[in-house]
Amino acid sequence: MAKILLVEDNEMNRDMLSRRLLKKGFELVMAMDGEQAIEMARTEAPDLILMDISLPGLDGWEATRRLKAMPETQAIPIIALTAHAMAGDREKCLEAGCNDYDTKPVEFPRLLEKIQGFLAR
Amino acid sequence: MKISPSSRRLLPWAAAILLSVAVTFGIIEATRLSLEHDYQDTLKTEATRRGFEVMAQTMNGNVMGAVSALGLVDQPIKRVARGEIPLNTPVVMESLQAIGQIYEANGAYLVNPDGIIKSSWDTVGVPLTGVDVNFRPYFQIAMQGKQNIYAAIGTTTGMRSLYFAAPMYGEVSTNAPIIGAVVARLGLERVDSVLRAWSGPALLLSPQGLVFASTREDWIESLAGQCTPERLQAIRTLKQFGKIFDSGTPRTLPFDLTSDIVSIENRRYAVARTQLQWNDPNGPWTLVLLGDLDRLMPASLRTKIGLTSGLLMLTLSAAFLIWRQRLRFANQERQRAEAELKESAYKVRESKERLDLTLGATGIGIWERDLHQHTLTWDQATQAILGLPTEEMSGHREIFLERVHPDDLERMREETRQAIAGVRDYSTEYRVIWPDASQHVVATRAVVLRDEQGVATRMIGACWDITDTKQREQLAFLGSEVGDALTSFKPIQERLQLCAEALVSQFDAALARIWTVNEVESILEMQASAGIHSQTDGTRSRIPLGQFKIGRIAQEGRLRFSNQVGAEPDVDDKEWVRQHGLVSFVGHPLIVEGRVVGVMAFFSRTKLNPDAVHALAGVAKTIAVAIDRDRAERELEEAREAAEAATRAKSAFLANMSHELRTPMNAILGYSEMLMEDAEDQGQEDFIPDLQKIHTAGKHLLGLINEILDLSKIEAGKMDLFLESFDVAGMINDVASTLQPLIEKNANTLQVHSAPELGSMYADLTKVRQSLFNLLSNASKFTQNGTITLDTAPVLRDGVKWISFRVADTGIGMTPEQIDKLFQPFVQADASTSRKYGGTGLGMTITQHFTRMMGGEISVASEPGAGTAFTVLLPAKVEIKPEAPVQPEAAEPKLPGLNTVLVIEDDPGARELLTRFLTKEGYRVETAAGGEAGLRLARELHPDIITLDVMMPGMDGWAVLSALKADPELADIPVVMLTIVDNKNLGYALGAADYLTKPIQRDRLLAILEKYCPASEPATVLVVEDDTATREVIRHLLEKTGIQVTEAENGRVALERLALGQPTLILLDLMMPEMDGFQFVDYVREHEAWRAIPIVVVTAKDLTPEDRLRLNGYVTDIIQKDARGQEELLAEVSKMVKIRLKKSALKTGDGSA
Repeated sequence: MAKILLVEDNEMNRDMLSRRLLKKGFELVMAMDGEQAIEMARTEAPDLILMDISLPGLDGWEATRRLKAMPETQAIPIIALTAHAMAGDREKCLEAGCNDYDTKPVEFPRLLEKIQGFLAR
Repeated sequence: MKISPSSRRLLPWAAAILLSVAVTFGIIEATRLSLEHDYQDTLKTEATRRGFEVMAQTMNGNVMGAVSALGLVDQPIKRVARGEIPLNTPVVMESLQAIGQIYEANGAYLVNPDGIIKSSWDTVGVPLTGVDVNFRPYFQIAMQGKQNIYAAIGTTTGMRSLYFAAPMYGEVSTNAPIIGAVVARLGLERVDSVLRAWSGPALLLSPQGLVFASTREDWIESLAGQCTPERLQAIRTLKQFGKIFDSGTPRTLPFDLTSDIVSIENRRYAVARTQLQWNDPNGPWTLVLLGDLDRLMPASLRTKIGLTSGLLMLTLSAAFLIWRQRLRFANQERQRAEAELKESAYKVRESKERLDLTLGATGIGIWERDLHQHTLTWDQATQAILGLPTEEMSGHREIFLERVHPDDLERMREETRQAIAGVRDYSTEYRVIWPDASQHVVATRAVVLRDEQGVATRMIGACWDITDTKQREQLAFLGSEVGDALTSFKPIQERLQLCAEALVSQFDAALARIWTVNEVESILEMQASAGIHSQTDGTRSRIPLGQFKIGRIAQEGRLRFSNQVGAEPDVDDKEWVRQHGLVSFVGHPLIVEGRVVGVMAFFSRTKLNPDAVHALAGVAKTIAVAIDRDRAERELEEAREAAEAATRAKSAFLANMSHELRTPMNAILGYSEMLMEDAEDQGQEDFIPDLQKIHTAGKHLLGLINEILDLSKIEAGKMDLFLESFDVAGMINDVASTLQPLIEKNANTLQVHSAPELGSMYADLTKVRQSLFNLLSNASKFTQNGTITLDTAPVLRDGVKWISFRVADTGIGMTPEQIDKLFQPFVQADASTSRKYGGTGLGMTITQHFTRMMGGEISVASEPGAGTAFTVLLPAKVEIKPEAPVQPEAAEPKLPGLNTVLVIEDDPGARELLTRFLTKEGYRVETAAGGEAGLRLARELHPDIITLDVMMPGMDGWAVLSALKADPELADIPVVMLTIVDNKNLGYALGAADYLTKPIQRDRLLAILEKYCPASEPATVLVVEDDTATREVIRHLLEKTGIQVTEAENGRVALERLALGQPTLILLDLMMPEMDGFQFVDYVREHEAWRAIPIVVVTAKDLTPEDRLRLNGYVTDIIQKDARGQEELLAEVSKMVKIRLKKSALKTGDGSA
């Protein structure tokens, strides 16, 4: 089963999203900030990363840039999740190297579709 | 006769005595005759000299000079003559009075061409104005263009007078028509004084022989010679000498003046005559001097000689001695007379200069230039006007030329040359700089005098100071220049600088500066400085209000003006003032509505006319208004910026708040959804409705947050338009079906009426849809058990198609007050509305914003209880306005030749289809199967346009797009994104020119390609290369890309080709036979028409710095053949040609825009 790294600092959201994904049968690993996310991506080699953008310390954009710069994590698809929905947010995510982007609150079926889209490749 | 011996002895003695007596007498007589002869010569010389003096006092004198000058140059007098100003205008009277008073005349007047005195001044008290002097010879002679002296005796007064008459010219030129005469009338004092200066009797004779003046009172008014009835009659007819001969027989002189020696009262007198040319039609007047001959050999001398006659030798020797002595005396006498003659000639000149001194009183200087000697003679007025040295009254012309402003010198010399050559009159204006460095404007007019052969010998001219007049003229120029400067679209400092420069150039200011008031700091800040100093940051750049001259002008709000800055206590740097020749200072406060906003001040080298200085207030006012308006605009701009900053801050705050709100919403929605799924899975269905309520409420809350976010995006200027074509009817159906559940909630029914021919519209689909959502949900919110209708119809307005969407309901309606507040953000119809109906109150505001962004409008009609109808009117084809946030890549002029499309597409089928389609449409198509390959090809080919697939393995479309836009060489290639992913937002943000969703509509794609690559004339490249093989290869390479090629094997042939027609670009080898590339470049650059053709040099030569220097600025690019492979070189050539062609096409486009 595919392994997903969920990077989210808000505990409630992390809990909620992880449980829903687990229910869909994914294997879940979690990180609470950018540095942890990079560490987990390297050690856990997930199939996909769900990346919250507003993170304490190293934010999601920077974490993504670093992940995409490292050969061993470069190929892992990253879907950015952000509560920001200002014009330019999406561009910033994609510029940083995210493969896709979704706004919070997530519409779970849509997110699921995106996840499955990347995993199917 | 018998002679006695004693007698005979005595005889020799007697004879000797007789002889000696005879000889003695003979000697005495011979001496006398010799003395008298010499004396007569002396007397003649004396008469000539006295004649000169009389002429110097009359014909050549200062009075005549003044009268002539008035007739030639005085403008007010001319205006009277022309009837432009009244006779008694003070300025005319002043001129006449000046002449009268200065020369002790007893009358001065102007005569019109009909001989009527038009304006007069006199001391006699007999009114002259209106008197007819037409028959008077002096008037008639003056009308012939000759100045003349007319001596006459008044008919009524019996006074003897001299009339000085001169022609009056219509313009300041002796070639101008004569429009009358100027006349001054004087007593005989001047003539009398000359006569009285002679030790003996002297008299002045008229041409008729009448004694007009004499040192002997009893001779005056006598006739010389016999008094015949004919002579009497002739004199009476003249009416020149009043009534003196009307009755009785006139006295005659008791001697005959025609002899050389006359006897008067037992004394012998020698007579000398000289003629005076007074232009009297009856002939010359005569000055007669009588010299006493008896005084030459007094009786005592003769007695003495007689007494010593006994001693012959003694007598002889004595006589001889006396003779010698007398001879010496006579010689001395003659030498003295000659010396005096010389002196009198000098006096003539001196008297002329005195004349000019008086002319100076009327501001006119007279000068004379000797064209052979290159000397200049001037009067005191000229001296004052030109600032010439005071000790000399004549000198080399250089003395004068040194005074002339260097900028005017050459022009003035040329005008002088033309006047001497007879090409035109000498009439000019120039500036002179005085030794004190002050500057003055002088007008001068002159006549050129010529000898019988027509050779110019002298120039005689008048000059006067026109500095004042000039200043008035300059003021007018200044006004218009300042007006121009201030209305230009430049920053205020630049505009003020232009004003200061105008003061310098138009008003002869030496230093002009403008300060503005900084009210906060109570200082004046220098904004502009022109003239001697042009920097605004030096001393006096910041002046506290009330300090120094400038600060006081600002504080007092009053003009300061001085024509003697050297003596001003305010001016601290006197040395500086002296060094720059500054004469005047003017400081105007700049006042708007009673507020001082600045100071305009300048120093000038010219004395300023007070009127002109006061008139400068108008200019100051204009500048003040401009400064004030600029300040107001700046304040407005600052206020606007502050307001915008506040709006941005608010938007940022809202965006952040939205984020903060969304995070818990995420949890609420997520958990409620999760619980619903769990409940379903676990069969606990009774929980579901409540969980559904939580979820619905959460969704609602999210909707509100989204609206706030939308608005903040709009206000932050981050809302973009994404225009596309869509089917209107389809969109309506979509909206209707989506909203159906919401409408049914309040038991409403929705009726949709769409006109049959709606067709498609080009607009932002999402925003149109959202607007309709807002209107319909709003309608259903405020309507219960009613009907909601959506009417859609095309509307034609000014020949343009619009689409009208009308949403009407049968709900509660609105009062006019509520309608007023409708579109204000965060304000709902009333406070209770939000409690009852909910919502943020932003829906309508957002709808209005969207409508306006698309160039449409929204209107509302409503009545309380009768429902509401909203109408949104949108153009069927929305155009992005210039200020709209999204700026699609401007269409740029296309590379001439066949257009190249680079298709970057991973799917082979799609690639093939596109290639076939575009080739058929006349494009040259290159393809790349992936991002990296696409980028490489783009760099090599520099295509006109790129189509880019988004979903590609490896480097995806977004990455390619970013890379393209990051490369300065490729950034200007338009990129069309082709994708199944609808993500226009990102596409445009990354710089895509256009965005098409798959499956591709071919006509849409073609339209886009056409827009970015309009067809144009094929480009031509001239290939100058001596190697045939290389030339061939390049030709093939270029022709393959649709470029026409002409060839030349060396520079000379290339020049021939150029003459036949200009290529778009020249590809040039440097080392060639006959004419090499360097020479060719030199030739091309000398032709105006060829200079603009870009030249790309392709060379194997190792270019030295000298080579590069030679080509520098002339050659657009240099490609080194060096060690590269031919293929690589050709690719480089091809690329460079394309870039250059494109750039020159762009340039041409700019030029014609």
